[in-house]
Amino acid sequence: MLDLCAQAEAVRGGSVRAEALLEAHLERADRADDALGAFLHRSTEAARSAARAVDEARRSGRTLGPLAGVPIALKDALCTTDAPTTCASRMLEGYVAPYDATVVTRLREAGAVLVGKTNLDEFAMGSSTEHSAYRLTRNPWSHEHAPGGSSGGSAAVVAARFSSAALGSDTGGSVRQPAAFTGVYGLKPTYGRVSRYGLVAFASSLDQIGPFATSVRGAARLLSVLAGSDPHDATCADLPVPDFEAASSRPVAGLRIGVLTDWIEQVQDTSLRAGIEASLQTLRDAGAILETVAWTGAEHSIAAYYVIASAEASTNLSRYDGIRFGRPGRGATLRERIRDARVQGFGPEVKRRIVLGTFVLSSGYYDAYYGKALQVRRGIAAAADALFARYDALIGPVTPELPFRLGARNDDPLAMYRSDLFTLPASLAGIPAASVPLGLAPNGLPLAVQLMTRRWDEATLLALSATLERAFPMPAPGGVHA
Amino acid sequence: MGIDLATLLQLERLAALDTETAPAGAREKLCDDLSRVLDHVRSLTSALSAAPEPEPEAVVAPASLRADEPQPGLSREAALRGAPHTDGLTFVVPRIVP
Repeated sequence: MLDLCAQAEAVRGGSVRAEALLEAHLERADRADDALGAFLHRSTEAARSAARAVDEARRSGRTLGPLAGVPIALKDALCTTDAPTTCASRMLEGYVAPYDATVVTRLREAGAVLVGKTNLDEFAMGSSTEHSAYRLTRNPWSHEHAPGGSSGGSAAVVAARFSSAALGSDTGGSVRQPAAFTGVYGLKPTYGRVSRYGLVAFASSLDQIGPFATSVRGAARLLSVLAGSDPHDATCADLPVPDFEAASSRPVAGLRIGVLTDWIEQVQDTSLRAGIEASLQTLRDAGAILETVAWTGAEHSIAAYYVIASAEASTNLSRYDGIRFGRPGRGATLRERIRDARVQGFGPEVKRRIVLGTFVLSSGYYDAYYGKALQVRRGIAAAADALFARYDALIGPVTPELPFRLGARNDDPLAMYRSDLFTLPASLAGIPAASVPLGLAPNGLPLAVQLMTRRWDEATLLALSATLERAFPMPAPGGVHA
Repeated sequence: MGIDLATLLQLERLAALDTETAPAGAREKLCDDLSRVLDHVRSLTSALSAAPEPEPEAVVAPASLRADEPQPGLSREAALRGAPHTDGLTFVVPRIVP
């Protein structure tokens, strides 16, 4: 099956019409999404109109954008003016944003065909997509297993080939972990590489939009379209955007890579550990120099992350009061209405994190929890900087385990949080990181490894990812046709 | 120290999440869940030897700033479009001042 770059080139060259390309994806989703549960909203007619416009532009000889005709899905935390944005929450049921997110605008300008909004854990809080208020998303490789989260819908859509690519958001691993669970490539850029304007905020110092794609080159092209300064987002860096697609084909010989051996030793599944070891050998064979390293302080990532993220979430979600938008509350007084809107609108995981965040920010506990978490975060970031003074990249697991069964973690939030053990350090340090598929385990579930590089060096990240991709080709799940 | 029921009720009130209709056992489970998370979080105390200064963001990058010039905001119509209760000019809420 063609990746998004080959699709875009085929559309530009005229060998494939954008409408035909779209219909192939729509047909797969029509056939299989009732069972998979990946979409919350499908923009079928708008997508057909966009695809017709691409074909018309080509016939008229107009220049086509780098993503012209490529079907792309959006995590339903990204604001769109022509489709609801619910964040998988009853609080935003039916809500239509008055503006497009910057990334949505950039995709449209690049000619992408936006096919719909995908399922997620409510307000991006979760690691399995089971906290959605609307529907359950299943893993395309096994419908009894979770697709990961919070961007599980976007990952599943790409794995099942309902779209050529999708956008997710990664706060503590919510692109990388579902990418690993579904066997697609997922990348979290450096914090500040991609504008967050129009991404419904969860934890503003951690949130970052990232692509899912079936190829590294495809993700690189997407990143080039998405990245770059945005006056709407003061945290978006005013830095030049490299040619990521060109960078993805660079050789990796001579690169120094720190192997997080102590992380690998914590991986419970022997086939996952073997896959990661095989990826290390692939990089050695490609001429990279690998050495064991340790990331000081990373073991405190779960504690630091859940304090910081919950604190920021409690503040960010205070805007949902059912007055200016969102689910209205009932009551005789203003306070009763606000309370009713929030109690009825939010699910249990969101409430849990809001309460936790309120606690760690409260008088008497602020310094002990939130202040200390910020100090620990600074230490984790400094330790990463020290590693990258000697190494060009780090490599380790994405998750401690293969995809877990649906329902396996629902009664134990701490167990769910622990599945983010290896993705959180990169989030806290703000560095770019990616999940690279490594084929399938004997039980048919996807394997993956995580690469991380210093800030702003997505180019090296993509080059290393492409090296692994060539050695570990990934099939599509059974039942998905080319 | 975990979160007891009295503390939970205070936190819920602060977060406008207090309800008289919580299902039986739900608050107890929430106290237990949060206490377990806080037990884990207390490891932060031992994580600090030479404690760096806290910093809210992990990354400091040259920012995208626009000129300090007024920009058009949302139109009144767009701002009111998603509101559950409106008189066409304002958001409508129960009277606050008697």
